[in-house]
Amino acid sequence: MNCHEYTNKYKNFKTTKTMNPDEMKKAIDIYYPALVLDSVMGRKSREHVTEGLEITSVALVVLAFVAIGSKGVSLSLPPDVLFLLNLLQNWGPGISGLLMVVISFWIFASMIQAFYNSYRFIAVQNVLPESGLSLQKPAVTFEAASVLYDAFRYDDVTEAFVRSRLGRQAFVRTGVGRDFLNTFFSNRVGHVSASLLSFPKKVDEDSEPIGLGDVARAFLSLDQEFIRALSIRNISPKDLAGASEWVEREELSSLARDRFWSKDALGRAPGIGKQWSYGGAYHLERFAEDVTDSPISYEDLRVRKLEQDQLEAVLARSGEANAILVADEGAGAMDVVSGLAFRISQGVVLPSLEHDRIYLFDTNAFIAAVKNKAAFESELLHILNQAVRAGNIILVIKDFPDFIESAKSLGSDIVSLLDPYLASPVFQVIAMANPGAFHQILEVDSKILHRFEKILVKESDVAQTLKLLEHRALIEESKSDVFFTYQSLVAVAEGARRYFSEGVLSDKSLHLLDELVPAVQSKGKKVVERSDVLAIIEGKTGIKIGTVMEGERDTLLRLEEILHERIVGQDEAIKAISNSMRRSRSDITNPERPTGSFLFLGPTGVGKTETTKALAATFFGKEESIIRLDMSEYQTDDSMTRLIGSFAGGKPGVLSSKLREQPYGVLLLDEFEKTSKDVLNLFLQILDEGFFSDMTGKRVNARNLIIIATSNAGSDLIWKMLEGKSPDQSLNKDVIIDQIISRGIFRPELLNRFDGVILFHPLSVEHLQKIAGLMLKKLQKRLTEKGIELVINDALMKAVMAAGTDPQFGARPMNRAIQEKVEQAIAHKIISGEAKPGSRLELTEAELV
Amino acid sequence: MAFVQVLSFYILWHYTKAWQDLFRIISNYLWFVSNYFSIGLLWRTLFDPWRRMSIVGGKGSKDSFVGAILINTFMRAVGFLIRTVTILGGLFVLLIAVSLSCILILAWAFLPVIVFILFFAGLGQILKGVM
Repeated sequence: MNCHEYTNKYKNFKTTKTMNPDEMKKAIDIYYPALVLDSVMGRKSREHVTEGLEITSVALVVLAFVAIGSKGVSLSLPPDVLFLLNLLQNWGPGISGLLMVVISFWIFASMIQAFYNSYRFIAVQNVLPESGLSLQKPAVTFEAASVLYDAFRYDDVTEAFVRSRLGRQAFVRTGVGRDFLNTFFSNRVGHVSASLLSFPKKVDEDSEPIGLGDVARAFLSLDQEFIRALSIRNISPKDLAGASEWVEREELSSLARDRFWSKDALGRAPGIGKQWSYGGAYHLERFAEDVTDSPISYEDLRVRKLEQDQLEAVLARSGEANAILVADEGAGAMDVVSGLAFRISQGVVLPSLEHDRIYLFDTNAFIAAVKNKAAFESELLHILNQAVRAGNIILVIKDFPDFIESAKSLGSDIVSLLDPYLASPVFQVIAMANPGAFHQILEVDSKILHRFEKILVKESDVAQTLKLLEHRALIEESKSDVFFTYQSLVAVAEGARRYFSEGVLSDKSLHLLDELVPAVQSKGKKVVERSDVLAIIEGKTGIKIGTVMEGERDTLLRLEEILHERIVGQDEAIKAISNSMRRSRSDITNPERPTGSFLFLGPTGVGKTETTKALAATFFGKEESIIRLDMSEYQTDDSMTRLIGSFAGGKPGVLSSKLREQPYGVLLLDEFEKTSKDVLNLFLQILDEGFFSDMTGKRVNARNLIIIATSNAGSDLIWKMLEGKSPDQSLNKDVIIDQIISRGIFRPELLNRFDGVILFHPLSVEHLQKIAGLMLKKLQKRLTEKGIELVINDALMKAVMAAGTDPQFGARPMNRAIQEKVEQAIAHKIISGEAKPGSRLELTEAELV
Repeated sequence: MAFVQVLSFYILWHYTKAWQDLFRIISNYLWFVSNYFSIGLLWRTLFDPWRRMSIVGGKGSKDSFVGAILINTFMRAVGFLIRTVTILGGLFVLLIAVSLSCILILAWAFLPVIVFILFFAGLGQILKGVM
């Protein structure tokens, strides 16, 4: 087969739905010569040989020079040196001969390398088209082809992958060492034949080639033995595929960097005379920076391609070619501009934007420099006139609404001032605004809407953020001696999305990554693992998310017991809550909903609030993690406004601000049935989707909350059902719920949204007795802190029970009884000096009357 | 066997695909030189005023009509002069690049032979030294 045949084969290569092994072989044929070379001598070995030849030639050149230069040197040198020089002179012809041989080998090695690269560079993607280089993407990347080629040779894909250079790197990125792989292969039973592999078809010319990640996914789907071995190390097939994609992406961008002769690389030089036909913008340059030639990575270009295309199309129009980029702070509006700048500086832009310059206007510096309205307006007009005369200026105004407001404070109407310039075909403005300010300030102004085209910059998702993190991780690695595993980056991206509700995902993730390095270094570690990320998130949020550790495992398994230390009775409720909490902690619940949501139904004073407190204390370490809202305060028509804020008044709402302050914890909604219908509908959404939008349309996250609504709706029914029976008797929940629905208190869809509707039983006398004991123990503890030992005797119990038993109100009267009877008596004793620190206090019946 | 296969692939590549690569690299560099000196752009705007500097004269202006013509002509002359010098400079560099490319193409054609000659000449010299 010759090279033309490979190329022709490749050109004729048409794909069907899935590739069969023959098609796969054909696809890798375009790299065939380089693959054969790799099989004769590995890439690393060739590099070593070339290096060795280079060093040898340099050494020989030095020796040859010494031999020539030492001719006729005086005899005053030491005899040993003279002897060596003599030897060299005699060997002179031999040395130069050897040099020629070594150089011939070196040239040969370089030619072989050029031959190899010629095939390897086929898959490198260029921004600028080059003559003779097809823009069509190959069906498979070189690295994937290299693994597949070996897979057909060994007839074992797993082994081929593990042996490949990038495959090994991918394993290192997932935290797997060579020992693990060696052990696996020495104990291996089966193997995965290359003929079993199948890949999805290449749909059109633009679809991405099959990469190393696809190969990893393909063989892992077949090799159950290997998956089992990896899962012991906590590595999922997704992790390995992701890590493979990462190392291959890096390889491709380093290949692109190696091609210093590419148009992309050469075109980066700015050149002479591009601006000679345009005017200068000297005035503007005092307040603005030319960002046209600022560096940008290839990844940034790809992530925001859609928005860049839109921006380019808008700016290329013949008039009113201005754009507003609407994006949250950090969502990447500037990346879109940088992308366009890159296109302009590379010359791959629509003709009307060629040779344009992008200036970033520093509005703060400008406002600070002018003192009053007159100065502001004359200076701005001066700048704008010059910009129009220059003829190639694109002005970027960050935070345009803020600039308008600042101008307004000086008394100037900047929109009217800008208006004639915005219509000019030779001057363009890119304004930026966050969605809130855009709606509030810009959208209401018809002039602005007329002159500007709105472009929405979407927030990047987890996959895009992951690419960004991969790139940043390499930069961090080059600065410090840490090493990021792939899983740690996934944990950063997913953790940032799930646990930090405020801000833009890419921004939050990068911040988290920045914090990670010093945190890991302070532990004396070098490898950043998933657990390190989870530990940092746990530290910042208080939510337990890492692997369940010994102490916590114990808490979770004994949750019923622990809650029962504070809650008397209510077995059914406690069991339901405990089960739900265990599900949530084992991460099998839906992350798009609140951590847990319960409706506690039952008469007053039976432990609904106490259960909530106990839950908060167990899971978040403190009772203060409860956000408590008395829903009876939200019965009126303005309840919604008070909860989520009002757009007109610009006032934030109680619920939205509380959840922003404290996005993790327990949200307790007391007397839930008393609130208005609108509010119930709001919670319908919160329970279902785990978020709501505040007055400005900004999302408020409720996914890290345990939401507990309490209500005594239907307690009359509970009492009725238990008439003449023991309160412990199990209740027919369905009847009660049906009644609640038929009375119109809650709608069935709302009740269905809760993870559990839990009935609390009235308390029996035995329960009340236990509660009395618990309460007295609390008092005893408080007194111990003062050094007084309180003896809980029968008299004490009897007195409390006598005064505090009222099943209708549950445990509530008990509290009062302790206060009025017991605490009073003790206070009397302390003041009279009878009870001193170190003394033992026993109350008699008489004292408790 | 595989080594012989690689060698045959190599020879084939050297006189087929490698030529394409070589011409592409050369064309990239020639494109770079002409792009760096903006030869096309400067040629198209040869007589434009230098950095759009111009004034308006006559009625309603503080400058006289003749004065404006003189100054505007001068600006165009300055622009023409600087552009011409740059274009000439660019063409000169382009000429050097073309000549170097020709040498490179020739060298590439004979490279395998050169390697052989170098190797055997070197070997001969070593043998001569040993004898």
